[in-house]
Amino acid sequence: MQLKHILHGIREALLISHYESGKIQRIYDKEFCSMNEKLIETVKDQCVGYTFMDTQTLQGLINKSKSINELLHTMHSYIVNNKEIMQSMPILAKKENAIKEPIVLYGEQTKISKKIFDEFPLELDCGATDIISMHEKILMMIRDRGHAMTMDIDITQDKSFVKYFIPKLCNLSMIQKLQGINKITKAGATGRFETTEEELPQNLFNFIEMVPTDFDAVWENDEKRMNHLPNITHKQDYIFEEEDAKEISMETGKNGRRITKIKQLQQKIKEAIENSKEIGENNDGETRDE
Amino acid sequence: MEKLEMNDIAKETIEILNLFNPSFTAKISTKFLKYLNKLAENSTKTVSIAKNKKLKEQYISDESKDLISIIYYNYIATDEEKRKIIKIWKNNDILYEKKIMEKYNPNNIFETRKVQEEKGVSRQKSSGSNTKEKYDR
Repeated sequence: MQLKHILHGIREALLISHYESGKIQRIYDKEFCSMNEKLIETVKDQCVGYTFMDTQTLQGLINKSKSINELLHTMHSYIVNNKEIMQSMPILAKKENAIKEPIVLYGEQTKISKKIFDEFPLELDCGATDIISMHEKILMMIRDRGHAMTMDIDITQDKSFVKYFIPKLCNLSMIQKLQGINKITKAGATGRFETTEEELPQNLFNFIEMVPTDFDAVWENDEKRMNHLPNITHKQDYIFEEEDAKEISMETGKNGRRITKIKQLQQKIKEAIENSKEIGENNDGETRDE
Repeated sequence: MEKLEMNDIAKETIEILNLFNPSFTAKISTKFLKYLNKLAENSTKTVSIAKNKKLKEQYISDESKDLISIIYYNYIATDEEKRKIIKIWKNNDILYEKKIMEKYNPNNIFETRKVQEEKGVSRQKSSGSNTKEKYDR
C-alpha cells in the first residue's frame, strides 16, 4: 500500500512538472533518493542487531517511509536483521570461535564465501557472526563489533566492493581511522572500500579487527566530540600535483567528465553561493562554453 | 556512487585540495576557496584519502572530480588546454547518450525478438517442420 501511495505521488508530481528537466531532477531527489535521518535512527533502534520485531512494527516503519530509498532501507533492514528469515535459509556450515560464539554460513555456497568462512579467524573476538552467501553477493553481520556491524559485499569478475554500516560509534577515534570511512553521524557510520577477490578474506578480517567494540568505548570525550565531528585531514605532505588535476579533467570515456554534469554543478555552486548571501565575482565556478 | 549535497562536495574537494602541491592551490581564487570553505562548514562528511593512490584512483565522488576539473579549467588550463577539455567533455556526453540510447531503446527489444524468431524459423526449416503453421496460429 505504501509503495502504491509513493508511486501515485511520483506520477502526480511528474504530470504537474510537464517533464521539465530541472523539476524531474527535484522529483527524483525527493521521491527516490531522499533519506530522513530520523527514519534511519528509528529503523536502527527497531531493527538492527536482531532486535525483536513483529510485522506491526514493520508496518509502522513502512508507513513512515516517504521515498523509494527510505522504503528500500526499511525493507532491507527488516530482512537482513530478521532472525526468522535467517533461520529459514539453508545452513551450509557452522563453527565456534575462541569465545564460543557461532560463525554460520548460510545460503548458496560459492568458492569465495567458503574461503571467508574457513579462514575466519577464531581468535577474533566477535559475537555471533552470520555469513549469507549468494551468487555474486555476500552479506555479513558481525555482532559486538560496532554493536552489530553489517557488511554488503558485491563480487564482480575483477574486484570486490565492500560496503559497511556500523550502528554504534563505540569509539570515534577508531571509527575515523577505518578504511574507506565515508559518513559518520549520530545514526552510525558508513563506508566502503574495494579489493580483489583474492585479497578479500584477509582485507575483511583486517578491517573487522579495527572496528571498535563496547570495550573500546570512551564515552565522555566522544560525547563532546560528537557535537563537532572533527574532520579527518591528512595535512602532512602534499600528495597530488597539477598533473593529477589535469588527468582528471581530460579523462575520456565513461569515467570522464561530461559537459551536462559540469553545467549542473556550476548551477548548484551558484545557488549555494547565492544562498550564503555572499556577493562575489561572477566568473568563479563558471566555464566559458566554446 | 551516492549523490552528494553541495556542502559535502565542497568538504570533499577542500580536503583533496589540502593535499595538493601549494603551487597548484596558490593559483585558485582566494574568494572561491573562501566560498567552498564556508559551504564545507555545514558538512559532516568524513573524507579518507589513500596516500598510495593517484587522484584518479581515489574513492571520491564524481561531483568532487567535476569540481576539481572546473577549478583546473578556470584557474590553471592554458587556452589550448581549455579547447581540448571542452571537446573531451562534450564527447564524453555524446558517448554517454549513445550508451543510454542503446541500453533503453525500446526498438532494440523488438529487434532482439525479431532475430530470435528468425533463428527459430531457420532452425525449424532445417529440421523439416512447418514453421509457417506455428506462427500463423
